[in-house]
Amino acid sequence: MRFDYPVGAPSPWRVYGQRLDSRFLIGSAGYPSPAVLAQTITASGAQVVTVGLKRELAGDATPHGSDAVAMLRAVCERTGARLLPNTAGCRSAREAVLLAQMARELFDTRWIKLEVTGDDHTLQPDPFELVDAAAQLVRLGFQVFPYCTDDLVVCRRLLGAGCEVLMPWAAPIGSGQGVLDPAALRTLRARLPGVPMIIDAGLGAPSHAAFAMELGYDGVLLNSAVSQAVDPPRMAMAFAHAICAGRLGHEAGLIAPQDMARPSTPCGNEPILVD
Amino acid sequence: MREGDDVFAPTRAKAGNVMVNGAPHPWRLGLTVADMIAERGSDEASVATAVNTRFVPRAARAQTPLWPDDHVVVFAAIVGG
Repeated sequence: MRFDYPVGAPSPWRVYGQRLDSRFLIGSAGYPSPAVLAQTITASGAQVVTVGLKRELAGDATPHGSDAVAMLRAVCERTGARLLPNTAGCRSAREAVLLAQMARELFDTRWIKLEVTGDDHTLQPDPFELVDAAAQLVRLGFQVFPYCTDDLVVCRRLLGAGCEVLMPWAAPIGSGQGVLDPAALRTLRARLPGVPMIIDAGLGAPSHAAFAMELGYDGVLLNSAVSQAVDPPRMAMAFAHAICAGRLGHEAGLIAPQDMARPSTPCGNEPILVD
Repeated sequence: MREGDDVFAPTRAKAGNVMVNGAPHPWRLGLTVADMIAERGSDEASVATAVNTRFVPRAARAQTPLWPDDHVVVFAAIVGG
């Protein structure tokens, strides 16, 4: 099972010079088994898959999740998908820069999904440490994908630090709430035209993803909504369709909402019965 | 290192531990990061390392000596969101 793009599929896009046809970026954590993970990645049609790092336990030559990582590498080799390592768990720029260097070696990529947590309950990014880490990583040759909030000024600082893509949240990670502040995301999109932006985190349903794409965002990154579904491969397909539909809707041009009715059938204002 | 510190202390040390991911690992004179990785039974290509918060690339492990009380972190790839 694999998502196939329909006729008239959304236009391809680029991130750090890499052409991507899929606008669905998917996480690899929390699946019931490595086999289901592999089926889901294939079904999603995603060309970018996120991964992580963890302290290795002493004497553990096959660290936790290594089966899944091996399976993931094999699937990505077959499908051509790229790995995007993250810095999950970091709480300072210093930690994030160190973890990114280790990720670059382990996954052999300059891409890094920069996460610097500022609050343990919401997992909200720390904007100050985030910008600091982004600037350091760009100087070290990384291509940084910063996980950030929808704060316009912070996003501008990240661009100033050398980030060429932004990944604002829709809602807290894993919450499944969907887009909590559409007005903020509309503003961000309007004020930063042309900047590749990916909605990352907080989506729970395919309709949430379609809505985010209708706002004009370039892609969607999610994990829990798929990995925790009853049938992850089918949910991945559902999200793939929704992301595709949302983007097509944006490209086609949505009509502006109005308060009053506007007849769609041009039957005129004359009464039907004239006697 | 501050003024007055014993700069030769590491070379005089005869015994002790290095801390690896928070757990003690026996130290000996000449122990390198590469040795430590092998003694832990880790696959050297599957882990990344740092000593005292500084990244140590794979190619530099064999030339990076460890000293008592050094703090080493060893990370492996996992799935992630």
